[in-house]
Amino acid sequence: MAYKLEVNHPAYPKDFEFNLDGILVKNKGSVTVTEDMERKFLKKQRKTIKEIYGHSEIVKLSGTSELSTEEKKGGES
Amino acid sequence: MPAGLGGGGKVGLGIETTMGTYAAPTVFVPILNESLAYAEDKYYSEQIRQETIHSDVKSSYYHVEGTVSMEADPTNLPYWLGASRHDYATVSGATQFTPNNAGSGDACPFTLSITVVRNDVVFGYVGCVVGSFEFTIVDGVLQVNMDVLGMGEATQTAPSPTWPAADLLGADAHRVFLAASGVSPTFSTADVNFNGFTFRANFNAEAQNRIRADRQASYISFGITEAEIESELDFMDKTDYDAMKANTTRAIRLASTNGGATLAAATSGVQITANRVSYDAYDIGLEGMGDLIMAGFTGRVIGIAGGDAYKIDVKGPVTLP
Repeated sequence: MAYKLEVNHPAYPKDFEFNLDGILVKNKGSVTVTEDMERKFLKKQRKTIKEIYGHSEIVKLSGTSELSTEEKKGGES
Repeated sequence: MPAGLGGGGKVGLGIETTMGTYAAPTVFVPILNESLAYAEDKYYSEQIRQETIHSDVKSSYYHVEGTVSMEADPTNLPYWLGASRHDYATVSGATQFTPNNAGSGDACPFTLSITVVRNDVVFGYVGCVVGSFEFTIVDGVLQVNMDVLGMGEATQTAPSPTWPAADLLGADAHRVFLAASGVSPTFSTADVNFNGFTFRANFNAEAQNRIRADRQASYISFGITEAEIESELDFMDKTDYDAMKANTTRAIRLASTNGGATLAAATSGVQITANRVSYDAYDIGLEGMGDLIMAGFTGRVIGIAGGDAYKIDVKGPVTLP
């Protein structure tokens, strides 16, 4: 699993690019946050993505950064 | 918590639905510096009671005031100008701001909640308006300095920043034009002798406190609008000197554009047009044996029948509500 960040800003045109503390997302678009991106975010901001974008009106955060059972099994093999 | 640097800070703007009611930031503004502060004159009791030191203190009325300086960036400038004494409309693909000098009704299209994060500590300023501003060219880049007044302050939750890429207006973006004054002046060739350009508008804003069992300001009032242009240029002829003597008004425009020579052709830009300017002063002197002969002037921007004293067009990605 991974976080997904979507930006929907009514004052800016579609595809206008925003920098979400180091993660680039186009307006009306979304980005799937990789493990590496999440690690860099945490190192730079000293807060998790959920802490900063979990309550935004403009940015929708979905998904989870926790490993699924399948992913955990995959990691053990 | 360790000490923080200014660079780690952030400033966000939210358009308020109700003046003075906090709106979470939806736009994040790269600034150069800010000094927004809680301003209060505390009441120190001077009771006479066999002591020569103040014996008690009570909180008094307060408001928010301070400055914000930033590069004039079309990706966020409309928010600031809309929180000032302007009307706005979309004209030829740009947001055009014109002074609202009616003297009645709502002076600003909207007010702002300004969220400032300093060393990870959040300050929320509400009911904020831009009481005066100054556009000026610094090292070739158009910048804007603003005086902000607000009604009150409260701690808020940490915002979720969404940073647009910067779109600065540099040395190759600017052109200055002179023409006869008019509702829609006819500007032709750019004047290439200007050395600096400053446009100021001061709405003489003041925080007003009223008796209502609340310490924060009741509203922000506006007074006389005072707009002026200040600059200096190589002294070449007496055209504008004579205009000053004869009290002949002029029109002056600063066009700062990216991606095109005119605002219509540009991808982004800021265009300031003063339709009717009266020269307050036009000083020319022989400053010294090795000094260039320059003309320094200050021009007062005044009203014009059937038109606007000035217009500020901002072309960029923002669509205001």
